[in-house]
Amino acid sequence: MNRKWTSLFIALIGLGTAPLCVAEGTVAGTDIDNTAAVSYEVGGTPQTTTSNTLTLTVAEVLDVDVTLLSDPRSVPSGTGPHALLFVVTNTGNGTEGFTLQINNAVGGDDFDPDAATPSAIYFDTDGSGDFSAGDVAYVPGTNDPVLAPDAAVDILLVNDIPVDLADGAIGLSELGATASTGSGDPGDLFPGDGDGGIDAVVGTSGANDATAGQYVISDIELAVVKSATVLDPFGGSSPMPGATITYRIVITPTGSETAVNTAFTDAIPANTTYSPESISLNGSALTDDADTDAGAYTATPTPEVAVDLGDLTEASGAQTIEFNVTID
Amino acid sequence: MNCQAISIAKVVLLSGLLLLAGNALAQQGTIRLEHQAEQWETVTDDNGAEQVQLVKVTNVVPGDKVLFTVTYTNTGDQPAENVAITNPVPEHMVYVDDSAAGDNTSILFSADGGENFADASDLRVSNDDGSQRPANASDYTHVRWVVQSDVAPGTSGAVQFAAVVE
Repeated sequence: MNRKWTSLFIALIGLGTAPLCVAEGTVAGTDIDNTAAVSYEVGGTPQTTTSNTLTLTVAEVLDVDVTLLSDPRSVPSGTGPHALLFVVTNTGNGTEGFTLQINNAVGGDDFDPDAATPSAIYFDTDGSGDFSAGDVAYVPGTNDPVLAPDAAVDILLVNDIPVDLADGAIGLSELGATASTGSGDPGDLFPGDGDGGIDAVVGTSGANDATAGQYVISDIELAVVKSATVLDPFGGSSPMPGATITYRIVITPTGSETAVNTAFTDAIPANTTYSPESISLNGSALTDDADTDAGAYTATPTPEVAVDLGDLTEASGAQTIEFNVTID
Repeated sequence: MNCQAISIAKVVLLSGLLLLAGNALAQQGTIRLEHQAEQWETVTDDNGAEQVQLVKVTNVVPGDKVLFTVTYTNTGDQPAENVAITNPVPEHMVYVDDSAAGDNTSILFSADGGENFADASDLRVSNDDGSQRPANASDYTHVRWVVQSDVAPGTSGAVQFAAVVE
């Protein structure tokens, strides 16, 4: 194929303007060598020649990603500590340290969570996904996480929730991570500051990232009152063998939030036997089988009555559950 | 995000620094080869118009596109016949589709480490199951430019291709 040099050259320039994003890639410090060779004949004698060797050195790209792993966390006012789980990933191509910051003065929310003291940033050392005694506190400049390319570390932000907040109020808490070598605008250069003294270049993230997690005030209380009525075989109310005890449990939701997937369970007391098909909810009978209705009785491992109440709000009103046992 | 901006800004700052080791004298022969690597840089002129120009490069980051240019010169006093220039696609780089160019050359590619060369449309590679499929640009391991006429003493030409850092 014979081609016009000029027209192809312009075509190549056109290709040069298309952005090509690669999150990670060739490791920082890699030397890319390139040598061309030519074969030819002079007066019928074959000869070969090689070119100079070009070396391209892959600079360190400084990039980081912070991702929230926790769902919005429902918390009552005036409680804590409550943790939010994040993962910090080195999306650059070199081994890099990162400094971590907490920011609770994030706009667009209803309240600022109170960062726990003395530390509000913890490594999820035990991998539980929540704050626990074994988790190590993050101390800036002392135990900054150092991550290989693509490596990640789980980080917890630990906050207390202020008192007297309205139901449904939202508070944001943000985790920031910044490359220790430097950050700034994409393309900013830190000559000689990269791995092994190579150049470091700020990547598309700006070498810092921040992501907020969410606390939602959920003040719903479920008041539970249990009572018992005894009917003995002689029409009286004496608790004797053969007598029937009717248990009545009244669950009353108060507050303006929703108690999600509320499940009621009650163990059958010792020395009594459950009366088959005796469960009712708000006066309607429920079967013992674990089927489409909300009630179920299970005999093993421990005899137990269960009623699935679903999502409850104050508007749901009091829920009344009844079931019977006989005294052995 | 404009990833191109990264390489551009960096190249601006690095353009003055050439790796001297890379420019070591080429092996002597009748035809001398000179190899260079460049990147595209967008500059805005006084009228606010954007212009793209090429600048030499020695430092790259993943995603950077590099233009390799090999200049060949007949330094002897006899014509060179059957001139063919071969350049491997460097390790950690991927050939940019349709980027190879060279005046008065026919361009062949290899997808097997430089053992066999063929026109792009004829090049095939084996799948894991032994069947064959047409080679993609990312399969190319070498580029070969076969100069279509003798290279007279004192004349020169250039061939080029682009590749992206993985």
